[in-house]
Amino acid sequence: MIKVGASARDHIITIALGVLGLAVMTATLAPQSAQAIPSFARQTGQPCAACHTAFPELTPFGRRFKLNGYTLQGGDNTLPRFSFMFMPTFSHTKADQDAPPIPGTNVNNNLILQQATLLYGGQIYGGLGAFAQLTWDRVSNQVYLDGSDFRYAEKFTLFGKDATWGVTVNNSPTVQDVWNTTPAFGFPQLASTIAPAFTPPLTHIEGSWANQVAGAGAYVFWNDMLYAELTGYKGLTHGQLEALNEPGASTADGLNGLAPYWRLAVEPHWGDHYWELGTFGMYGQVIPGGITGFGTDNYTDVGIDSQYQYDGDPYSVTIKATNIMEWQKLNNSFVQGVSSNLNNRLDSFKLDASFVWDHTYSFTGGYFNVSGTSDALLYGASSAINSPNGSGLIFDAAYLPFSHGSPWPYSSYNARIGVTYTHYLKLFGGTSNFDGSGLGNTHSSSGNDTIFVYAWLAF
Amino acid sequence: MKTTVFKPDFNRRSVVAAAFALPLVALSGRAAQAAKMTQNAVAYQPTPKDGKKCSDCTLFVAPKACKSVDGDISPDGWCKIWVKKPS
Repeated sequence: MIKVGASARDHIITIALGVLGLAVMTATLAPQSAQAIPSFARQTGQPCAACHTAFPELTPFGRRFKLNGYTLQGGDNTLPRFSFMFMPTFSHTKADQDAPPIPGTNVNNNLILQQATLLYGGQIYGGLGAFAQLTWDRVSNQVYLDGSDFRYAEKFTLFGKDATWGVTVNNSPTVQDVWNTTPAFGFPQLASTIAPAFTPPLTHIEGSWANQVAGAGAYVFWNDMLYAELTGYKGLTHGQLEALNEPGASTADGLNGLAPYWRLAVEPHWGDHYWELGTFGMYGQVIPGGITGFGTDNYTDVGIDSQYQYDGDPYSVTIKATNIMEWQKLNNSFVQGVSSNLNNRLDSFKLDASFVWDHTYSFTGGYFNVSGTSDALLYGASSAINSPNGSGLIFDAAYLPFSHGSPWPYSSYNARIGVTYTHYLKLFGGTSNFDGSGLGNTHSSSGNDTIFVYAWLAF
Repeated sequence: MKTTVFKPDFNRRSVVAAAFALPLVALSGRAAQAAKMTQNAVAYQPTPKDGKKCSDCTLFVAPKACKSVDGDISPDGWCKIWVKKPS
């Protein structure tokens, strides 16, 4: 018998919302165009399939729509550019967790409404557009400003070739990027927020800055091929984060000075075959907990990424590889006895491939590997050998019924219903009893293997 | 050792101002027109593909324009964002 962790009321709400959403969407009459972020397509008159192989992974056209400032027109719909998304999920791990991950849940088999988001997606005025999110999530139980990107873009001619220049203002490094090789929209785009109990540590650019900073930058996309961007980020104070209702605001890390972010990529294409090669990175001086007086922990992240995409009809293939190298100079943590070493390395590698049939059936497989310097104080609590090393495999299968059409009368639904399986080959340098606790279950790497079932519903 | 709460040398007002200044500066004096896609970006071709042609697309503006793509557009052309005009 499956033990479901959330309270009965939470279950009823979650199931009711899911059933309601699916029932409305599957009450199919004449199919009409459907969209990923529905307001984008109301604006452009394009179906979801124009911008996404299987959302949120972008097609070449989707990348150009974003670089164009989310402002491309073409649709006749004049509704305000708002959309709503919610996501009921079910998480199962091979072994029970030691304790419920959050109040109101159980040690395993949790059905929850993981997230609900109000989005603004589309043109604001002229060449100014936005992808902005207000999110509620079950873990924090707060509504806050999620990864958002405001941008202005214009066309011009450079060296006799068409080009686009733009400015971006955003709160999460890489949320503005158009390739799915960078962290914000990299695979897996969806994961459980309450399982598993143990995951490998990640480099700073893989989420540590998300919603904690404000940045402004400029970019140019030249000759439909070459992309360059430079953005500077400032940290938000605890007061500013509290004003935005960000989870963990009162204990968030500070950022000293300006943190530069750079991006350079080239994407030539031959017919429907697109090949991208690029680099991105960021340097930040972090003040752990926002408490001054101990210096800063300095993180230099340098990523190298490549993507091959066949954007054909009726199928697409996308292969992505990303390697992020991080150099850590832990002045603050070392002085405060949080790290054993002053200088550490942490590298994160990802390789995945997806096959999407007719923008409707999506299959993705991926491998990840994290490796770095052993550090007794940083990793000793989770690793018997003080190692951050971890690796695993991820498989995702999804059904996107409305990529080409959705039920009348509201032709702006979209849905991704899928299951993701994650198998951990190694965690914190070991396989069984990696932390030396002898507790078994999730203290062995495979005990954290996770089956994650989701319905990503938007309208 | 003295412990104080970190406060960067800028305030909330400056963050909000910086967040909106660049786009607004860029906007000044510009028409409220969004840029269209280049023909290259959507793989435009002046001939039909698989029986699909621009004159049958919801984005086509007679006699030779498109709501979403720059430049002269042939009614007999085709591109990747072709969307069938409702009958």
